[in-house]
Amino acid sequence: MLLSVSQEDDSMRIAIPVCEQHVATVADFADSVLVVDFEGGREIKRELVPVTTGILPARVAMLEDLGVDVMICGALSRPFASMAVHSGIGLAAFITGTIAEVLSAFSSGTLSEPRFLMPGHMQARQWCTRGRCRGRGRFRGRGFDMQPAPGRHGRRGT
Amino acid sequence: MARKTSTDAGLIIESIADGLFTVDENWRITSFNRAAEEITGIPREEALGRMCKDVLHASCCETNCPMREAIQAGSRVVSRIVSIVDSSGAVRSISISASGLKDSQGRPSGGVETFRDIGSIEAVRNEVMEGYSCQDILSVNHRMREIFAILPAVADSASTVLLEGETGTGKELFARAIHNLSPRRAQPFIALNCGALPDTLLESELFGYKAGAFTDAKRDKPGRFELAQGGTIFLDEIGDISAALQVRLLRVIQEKTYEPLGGVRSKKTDARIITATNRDLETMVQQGRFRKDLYYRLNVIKIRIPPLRERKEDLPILVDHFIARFNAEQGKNLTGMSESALQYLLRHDFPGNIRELENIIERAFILCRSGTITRQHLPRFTPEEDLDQEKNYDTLKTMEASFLMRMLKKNDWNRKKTAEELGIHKSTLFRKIRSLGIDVPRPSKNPPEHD
Repeated sequence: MLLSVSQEDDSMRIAIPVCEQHVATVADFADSVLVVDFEGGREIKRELVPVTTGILPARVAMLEDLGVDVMICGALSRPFASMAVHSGIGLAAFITGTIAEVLSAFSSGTLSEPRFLMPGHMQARQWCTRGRCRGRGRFRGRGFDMQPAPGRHGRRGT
Repeated sequence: MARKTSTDAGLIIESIADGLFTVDENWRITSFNRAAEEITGIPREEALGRMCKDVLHASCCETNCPMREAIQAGSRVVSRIVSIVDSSGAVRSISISASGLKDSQGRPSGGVETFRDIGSIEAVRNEVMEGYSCQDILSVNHRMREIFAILPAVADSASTVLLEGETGTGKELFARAIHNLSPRRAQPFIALNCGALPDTLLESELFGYKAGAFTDAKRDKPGRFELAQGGTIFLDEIGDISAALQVRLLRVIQEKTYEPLGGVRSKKTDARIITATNRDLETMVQQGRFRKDLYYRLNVIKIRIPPLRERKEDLPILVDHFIARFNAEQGKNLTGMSESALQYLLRHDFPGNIRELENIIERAFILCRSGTITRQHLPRFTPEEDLDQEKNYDTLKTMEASFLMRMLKKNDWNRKKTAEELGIHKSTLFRKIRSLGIDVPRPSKNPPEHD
């Protein structure tokens, strides 16, 4: 699995459902999302956005409204994953760790190291990628791996 | 010998049907039984050594972890119901119990958590409830169940439906249920409260307007009929619309066409019309306040939704339903309502119907942090109702008079109905009324309908 930020000039907006300084254990139950903008492989801005709804379609709509390209999260339910993928949001799911560690690993392409992967990650890979992604350009059909299409976006690490 | 005891304990832990795991003082899993593997979908070898929250994926892990609570309080947490996401992405309800562990010197050394999948229990409960629900509407009342039975047939037709019921009885829920059961379910459901808007605004909302129709109408605006094309339009408080609007609405129903404000061309509509009112339209027709022809057009299928006071047998399931909903919405774990609190609610007449009950439970959720909702978490109703049970009757006669007054009031002062409900002859009732000196007002012209 390749989990890293684009190293080219393209901008990328990621969202991480958080609980204090950690990735929230379950994205479905998180009450805030950290939105981080990357440009040219570097973080340029971050903002903590409260999640005011417990309704999944509204959560996904919120991520869409925020213009999120990729969601890095802990465990999540199948309906949430399906809705996110069908909305064109790339997923890096079943991720654990502190926000600082995870963002650093995402930047450096080391998010696939075992220490960041929750138990059950491999099973989740199978169901998270099912279904066709109707999403925005470079994340089309990229479900779980959420890596920008090779060739257009360089990536560090494999 | 010690080794044998340890092996036996291991076998017992493996064989129990409940999921069980233990953690060390750093919340890392040190044992994980077979049932835990089955419920979470995580193999033991992946779970051991990992943080328990990364394995259990529970709704409570970060907010009110039962194990943390048990260790800190030095007591047990029993049967707390939470949601988890298993490795297949399914959300399951589990019941968790937790307690702290101590080493041989009595120092805290971690904790143990057992959990049970209550999905199957919920499935049985849902199966039982299946006959007592339709879409989002719950009831065990026979009249409501008769409505549930005809709802699919009503939904299949394209006829207009008139829903009659007091405020708060869930008329919009019924309208949505009809829409969701109908072949139009994939098309829009548009609701509009006719009583909430002044006449001119209501007209532009219903039919839309063309640019230039009036000051500030800079561009065309589609009306609700246009938005509901192919679907259902729900017009609440239909008894509140003006005579002029009644004429326009009648034309829409008869000819399936309308003109937007400022428009010169008619537009076609195929939206199904469902209307609702808390007024007695029939009386309004007799009084000349509502058009007879429109009434008959709207009244192709009439469904009268009984108020909550006429179906108090629904209170326990409605209370359970709202508690479950607020538990899920607010991340709380209230276990239910005490018997005395429920009895107290049963004595209330609920003029605000289901909406009032919902507000009462929501209020109780603010006051009750955990455990069971008791009487102290409920609002005081009218002094008459509140003191009813504690009233000290001077004599048997005053008690009898008070009881008869309550029954008469319940039946809208209709003596015949009251006698029938009490199972006595009406002459007996008249005699008692006279002898007890009860002053009975004349019954109202529109007594509560009993289907």
